[in-house]
Amino acid sequence: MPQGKLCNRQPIKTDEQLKLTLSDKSGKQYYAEMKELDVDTNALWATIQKTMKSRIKTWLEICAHCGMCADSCFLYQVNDCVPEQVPSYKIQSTLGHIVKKKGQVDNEFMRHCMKVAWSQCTCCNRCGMYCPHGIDMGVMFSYLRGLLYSQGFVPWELKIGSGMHRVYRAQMDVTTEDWVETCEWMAEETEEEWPGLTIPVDKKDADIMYTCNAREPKHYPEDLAEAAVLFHVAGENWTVPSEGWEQTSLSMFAGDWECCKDNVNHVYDAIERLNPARVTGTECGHAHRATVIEGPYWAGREDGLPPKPYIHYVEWLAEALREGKLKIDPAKRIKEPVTLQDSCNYVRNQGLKDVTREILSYIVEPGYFVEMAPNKEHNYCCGGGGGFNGIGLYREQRNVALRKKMDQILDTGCKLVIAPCHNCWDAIRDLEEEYEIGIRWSFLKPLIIGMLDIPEGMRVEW
Amino acid sequence: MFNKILLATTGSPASFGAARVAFDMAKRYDSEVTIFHVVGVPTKAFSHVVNDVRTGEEVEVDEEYLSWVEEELKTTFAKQFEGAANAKIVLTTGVPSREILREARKADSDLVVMAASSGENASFHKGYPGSTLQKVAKAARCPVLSVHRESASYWGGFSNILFGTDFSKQAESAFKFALSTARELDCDLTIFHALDISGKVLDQNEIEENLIIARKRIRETYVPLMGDFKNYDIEVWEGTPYVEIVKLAREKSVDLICLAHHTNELDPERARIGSTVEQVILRANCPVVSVSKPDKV
Repeated sequence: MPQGKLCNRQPIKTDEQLKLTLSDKSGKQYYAEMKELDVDTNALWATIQKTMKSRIKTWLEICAHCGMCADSCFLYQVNDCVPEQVPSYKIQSTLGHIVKKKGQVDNEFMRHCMKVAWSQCTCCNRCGMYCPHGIDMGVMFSYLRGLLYSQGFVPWELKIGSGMHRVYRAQMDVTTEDWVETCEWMAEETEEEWPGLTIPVDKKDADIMYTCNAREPKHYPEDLAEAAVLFHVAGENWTVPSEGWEQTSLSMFAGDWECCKDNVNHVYDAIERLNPARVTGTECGHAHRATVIEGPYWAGREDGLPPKPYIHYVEWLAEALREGKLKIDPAKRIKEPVTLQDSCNYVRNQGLKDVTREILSYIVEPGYFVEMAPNKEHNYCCGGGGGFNGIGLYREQRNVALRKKMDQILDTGCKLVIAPCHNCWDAIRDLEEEYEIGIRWSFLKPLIIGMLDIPEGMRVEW
Repeated sequence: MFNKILLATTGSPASFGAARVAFDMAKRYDSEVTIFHVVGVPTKAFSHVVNDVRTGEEVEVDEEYLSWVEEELKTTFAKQFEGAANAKIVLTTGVPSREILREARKADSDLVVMAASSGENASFHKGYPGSTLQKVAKAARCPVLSVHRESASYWGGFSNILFGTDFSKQAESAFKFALSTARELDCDLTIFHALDISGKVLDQNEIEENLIIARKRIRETYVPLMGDFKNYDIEVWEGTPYVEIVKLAREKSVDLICLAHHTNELDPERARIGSTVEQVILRANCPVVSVSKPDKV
């Protein structure tokens, strides 16, 4: 069969197609169609020739098959150290094979590649740090995902996810009206307690423009209210854009390259339109990677930078605490053993390891912060990164993957885990649901609000 | 004043009391009642997979599942639906407290009616500290009526209202609501203050002096606002506030207790210890309405 009704090489571009695909419970029909989907081998090879640059070519060539990457991979560790989970094997037997065969591979092989690309690698990039040649299998798997997506071999949820971005310009069905309305609602709900608080939409020339994750307006709008409270208390001149507010990119997880570029350009357009001095996003790892670390290249920006300085939320928070814009009441600091989840996307990939620890130095009573082992750029993925959290087909594998984080947390003896990343937060929540180890987990915003030393009159107690 | 009632329910027996009151009010006062049910809390991706609020199980929400849930609710409340001309069911997914607030705002509801707890299963609370009721009561623009115990002294309609005050800003709104309800439904209104002496050993003269002061304060604060409304009396007792409120309500066969809600504490354990309104809801024999905002009073 050439192309299915739901599973095909076309991205989801209309609301109708989106709803149709979504109505296919668990992607049953979608995956059935996938079994019949033809591989356009010529197009596949043409794409490879056009897009596979010297870095990946070299990496595929120079891998010495030494196996040093094996132990670096948490998925190898939690899956009984089977050879099939060694990173170099995983990529050589998938992407390497496709390249060797000049794209002449069949349907069954493509489905095998899909399984490896989305359930045996979270693109956490840890292996790249341990390879003597610096080969980063995570980068290569991201590339492989792009090839698979272009041929229609992508997990159902991620096909829909990137479709959401294309149709709604957000990873969930949150329209511009919904978003602006949510900003008004949260301002309304918060202003009584915090007189003078506003959530300014589309204010030009502000000092800070704030972008977020569509899950927030959709399900947890109090996160936006909390961001507003902290900006308000810090006295920031800030704004949110009515368009281009969604910072995340499920299209990056899906390998929908065209959509990735569109997402990030949409955010950059908002920056150009509103001309803020700086931009900061929410406590999300992959959103930062998509917009700040990789985005400039997708958008073809020669300087490799976003149009304006674009910092992660933890950088803004650390700065506000350092400069005294936000003050912590020492009596309210955390006085229980607490640990920190380092997000791969902005710690390993951008080096923000000291920033989060600086924040903890203000909010945790000395002696109570317990590092996970290993930590910082050596930390393991939460277990749900790279889209793993959202894929029903690989739920079982994802639950096994959570075990590494569970062991790390248990070893700290902490009952409180700070997770300033949506994906990590979700994975740790699921971890608790699945394994019931008796922990609590939190973003930074609510914790900080609870321990602020607030200038008199700024908050009305009620 | 009760044109639009939002009955937020899990459909479990814990919410039957609330449902009885909501439907009774709707029939009596010709209100529109919306049975609002949050099917589940999203667990992954774009909200199609949720933890069912009743079973805690992971389910995929589709048309079929939604119509099954709707049928269940119709069967559960079959008796109440009889004669309720203006009743409809609205289903959604999300975090219950947030979705109740969203719906109340969207529909411009005059009153939210809900149970104090979700009953047997609370697995969906994980990661979302604070009970649904606390969060809704804190942020709702309209009064929130809650029923926890099967309301022994609630026979239908309201005729005897107890307003408990701590003289806070929110109590002004709660008073306005109590007064306008009493006026409109021709009820007796008791204005009550409990002098908090819990855990203290105080000189009796001091207690009595404070009782006199509180009584005077009630007269000065609330009586001028009542105009020609005369069906009221004033009570001031000393003790532990929630205990005294519950005792007085029982003694007077009160059928509605009206209190202000104002706790910043969303941690369920700490809030439960600290909040009078929570304690009253858990113990009272009649519906308790909590008011925190001046919008719908």
